[in-house]
Amino acid sequence: MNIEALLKHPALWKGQVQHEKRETFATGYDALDAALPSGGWPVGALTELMVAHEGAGEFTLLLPALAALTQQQQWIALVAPPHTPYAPALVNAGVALERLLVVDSTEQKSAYWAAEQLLRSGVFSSVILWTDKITDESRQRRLQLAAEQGKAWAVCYRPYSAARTSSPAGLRITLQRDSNNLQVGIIKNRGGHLSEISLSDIDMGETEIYTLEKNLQKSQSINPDTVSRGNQYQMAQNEHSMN
Amino acid sequence: MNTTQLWISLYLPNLQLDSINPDQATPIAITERVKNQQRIVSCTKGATDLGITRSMVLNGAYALCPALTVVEYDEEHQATLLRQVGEWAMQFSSIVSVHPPDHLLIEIAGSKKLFAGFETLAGLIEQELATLGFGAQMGIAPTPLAANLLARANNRIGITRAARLPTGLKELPATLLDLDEQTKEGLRRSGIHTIGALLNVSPASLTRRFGPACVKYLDCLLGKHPYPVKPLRSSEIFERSLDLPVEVHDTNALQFATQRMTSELSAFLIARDAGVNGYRFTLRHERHPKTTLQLRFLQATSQPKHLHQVLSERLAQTVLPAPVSGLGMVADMFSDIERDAADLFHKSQRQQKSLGEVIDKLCSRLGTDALHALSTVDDHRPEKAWKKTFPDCFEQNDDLWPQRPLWMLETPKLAKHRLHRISGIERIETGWWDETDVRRDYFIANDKNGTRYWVFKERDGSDEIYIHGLFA
Repeated sequence: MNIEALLKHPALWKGQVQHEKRETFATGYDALDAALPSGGWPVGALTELMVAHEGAGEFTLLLPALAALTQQQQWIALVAPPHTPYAPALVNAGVALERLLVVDSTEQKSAYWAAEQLLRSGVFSSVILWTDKITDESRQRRLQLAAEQGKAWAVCYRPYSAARTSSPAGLRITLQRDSNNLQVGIIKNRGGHLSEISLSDIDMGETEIYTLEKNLQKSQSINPDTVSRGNQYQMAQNEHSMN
Repeated sequence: MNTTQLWISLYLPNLQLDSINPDQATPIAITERVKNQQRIVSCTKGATDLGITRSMVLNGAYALCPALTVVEYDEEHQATLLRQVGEWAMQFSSIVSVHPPDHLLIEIAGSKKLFAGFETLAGLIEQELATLGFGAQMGIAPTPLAANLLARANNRIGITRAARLPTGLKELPATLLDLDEQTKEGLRRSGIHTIGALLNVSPASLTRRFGPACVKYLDCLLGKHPYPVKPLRSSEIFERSLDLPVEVHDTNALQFATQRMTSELSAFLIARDAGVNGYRFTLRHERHPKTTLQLRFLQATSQPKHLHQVLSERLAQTVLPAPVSGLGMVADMFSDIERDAADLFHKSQRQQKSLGEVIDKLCSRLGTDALHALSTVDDHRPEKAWKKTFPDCFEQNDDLWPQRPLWMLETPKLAKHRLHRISGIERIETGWWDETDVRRDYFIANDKNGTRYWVFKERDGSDEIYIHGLFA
């Protein structure tokens, strides 16, 4: 009996069968990629993020993947963000703004509806939804289904306490800040293992100390004909023309 | 005479009535003043059911139906309506001509190839016209006048070759001819009742009897003489206005009228190979300023369904401040239509809907303001360094900025809890020339939870710290 025939033998138990490689988007963090099945954010599924305190680095966590998508000319949408997503910071993170759509909604029901429509359309590679009230499971299920249907990466920010409820989402993560590290708790991971990761290389855009050189570079890159800059810039411009 | 021409004539006997009342159930009549007496020119089925007939004196009609709505015939309005239907017909052919007061001519020899034969084309025109709510009789002939004649005869016989015209028309009554009343009366008295009989009279004798106009008309009718046709030129902008015969309290009741307007807009766009990015729709009220709805589309479109769906969804959400007495639609910005949207998207194979459709759907429920894109603005003042833009209208600017928080607060908030400064100071002094003078020292601070804020102190010596952004 050769090995092929042996492997086909019904009495043989082969251990865990390797899952079919799923489509994922690299997270931009090696430790996180390693902890997720097929090495990245799951496409065609819902990712839930439960954040202990706003400002933990919860949005920064997504930016490498979002930036990569927009740079590949794929559309992403932010639905009901809690504050104004600040365009200069997004540009700094590498997001190509021409592929970003923002949907404002004060009503959570409408926000869910909008996210679902966007996911289902198949036009958007990723849809990020912010929610602040815990809703019943059916809402999350609809998001999960819409993500499957549109083959998109759906992300839903939920209150921290939602971690204690059950959810049909494929991937569920809690986020907490611990001094300079972002503690990522993977509490549900379809096709993978549960784990706890500490990300230290989260750069929320604040680690770099502001320098005058940077400011000058910025100043010189704009059209000298416009007088829309402040005193600092006027000075910089004068120096520049004297050289 | 160019023998390759083929004309469809549309005879629209109730144009004005159809334009205000497509359902035919409400008793409405169009009247005209004839010798100091208002007489019925046309009326809806709702009116004929009550016994009202054409050319009845208005008082008599009122006796039959006190609730009759009466609209006086307006020659100018009739001409406008005819021209509008003409513009609609330009989607089928580049040569369309109006024959006031109630005929429209469409040259189809060139178009029939596009529409797989003229029968198909004629069927399409008839069907589409019916959905607009216009009742029309159609005639097809190689000369404009014969087409008009056949349309009035309404016997549904089409003639395609000029040589067949004398035999094809001979049975038709002479009263259908486009001759003045005096000539027709003369023909009747001479015992000439059919066109066939008239064509048997020698031209010389006809000229002697009725003047040269009659012979010339017959020559044009049969294609022996060219009949000059002035092609309609499409207007620069699309504009429609409709006075409702009865005030409407519910936007649902506007469905038919809006459907017609958007269908006409669509036809107008197709005729010029263009699309619209938006249009303006107004609801007029008797005792209230008008309500204006500005509709926008992400991508230029000419699809009637799309044009209408967005409007009806918007209308469904509109709370009427007063009953509606009239409607208006204006589209004046046209752009070439994106024929192949596929290259816009990297993953076109998974595309089920277009981006435009999704966005328009969301806008119709959440409002146009709810959806936007973001753009940076080359301005030092943090609150002016970004703006909302309409998706797709994008100026690219990839210049990097000094470190900035991902979240910006709409308005800076006075910090109430203890914060520790953890960065250097970025001085932002700008805008002395306008009203939003900014003189601030910005820095990053965190609170006991580790949350990082982008904060500033005004440079007027005050100690208050304002939170302007949040690193998240």
